Amino acid sequence: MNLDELKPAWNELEHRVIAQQTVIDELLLKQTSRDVQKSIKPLMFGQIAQIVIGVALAGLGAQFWIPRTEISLFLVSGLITHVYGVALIINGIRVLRKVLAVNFSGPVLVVQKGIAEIESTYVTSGWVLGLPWWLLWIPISIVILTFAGFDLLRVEPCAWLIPNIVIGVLGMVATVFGYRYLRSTANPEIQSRLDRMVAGVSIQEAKARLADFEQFERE
Amino acid sequence: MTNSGHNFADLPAAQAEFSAKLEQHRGIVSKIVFTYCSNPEDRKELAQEIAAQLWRSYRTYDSDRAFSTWMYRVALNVAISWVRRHARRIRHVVEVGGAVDDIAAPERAQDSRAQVLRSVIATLDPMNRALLALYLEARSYREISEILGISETNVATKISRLKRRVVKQTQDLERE
Repeated sequence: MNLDELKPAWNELEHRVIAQQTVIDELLLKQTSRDVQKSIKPLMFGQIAQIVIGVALAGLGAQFWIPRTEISLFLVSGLITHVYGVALIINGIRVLRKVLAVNFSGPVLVVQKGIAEIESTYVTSGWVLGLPWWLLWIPISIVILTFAGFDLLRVEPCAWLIPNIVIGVLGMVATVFGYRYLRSTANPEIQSRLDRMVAGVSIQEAKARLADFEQFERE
Repeated sequence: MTNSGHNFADLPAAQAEFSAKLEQHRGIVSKIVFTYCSNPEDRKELAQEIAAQLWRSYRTYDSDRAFSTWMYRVALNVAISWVRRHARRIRHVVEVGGAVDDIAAPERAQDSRAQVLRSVIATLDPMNRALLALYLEARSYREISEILGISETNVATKISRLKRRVVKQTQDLERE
């Protein structure tokens, strides 16, 4: 049997779907008021939330370090908070611009490659911006606690700072190695759940999808 | 003069125009939905998403270009995105039942063509499913190339691969 011989079966499908057509017609008319594409909506809100958090952190960091440049602990903590906030804003705007630029009436391969690229950027930046939290909580806590009136300099900073930095570095290294270990030994289902737990969507899946579209384009 | 986009100031008129165009191409959404979903609930959900996106994109539809081409692009983009989001669930459904059970439901035993079609669709990735659907819809290579965004030569190469695949799958099914 060749492909053209399948055309009658395909056309038969048309007769068959007419029975369901009324339902679909009804849906088509009902849906005319829905305005935001479902698959992109959560990603869009996620990026907006990220930008808002970034603005808050950048503002907090700048307000903190500018009047405290003479104390290096405060200067560094404020600058890290400020820079991280700016990184969140830049990344959020970058992804949001790509999301808003998706035009569903464009050629299928172009649109799907665009979406796969957004997904890949999103999950990769999730790691890059998420993993440093093992250490980031320290400067951000310093900023917040100082603003709240705690005198962190009353105790020798090295006494609490160094152990927390060591724990943070160990935690970060353990996360990376633990993730790699589980990925290399666990079954695919666990691997995929692990990816989703860490980055929301599997980095491997996102990259594989992008590669599939690129291959389809090349062939 | 290019009539790019629609004026939604007169919303009822725009909706009426949109509905009339949809009526002329009513089979497209259903066939795309059937190509990508096997479960009735999934079909309903996907049809809803396609409908919502068609209306949303209608503002940017250029009426100098074929409505069907535009509609295929939107419907396929939504369907492929939907498959991506529901990949795990769909994989499970395909393993259990086959991708397009309803194509052949009543005459499953008699109609080997429907069986082959079902089997071919189930084994294809989303882009090749789109290609198959457009070919079976008797769209020209030029239109397929416009819808998918690949060259006509690439369309021809992929169609010829699909043809070989169908022949092989038919032989495999006959052997089983």
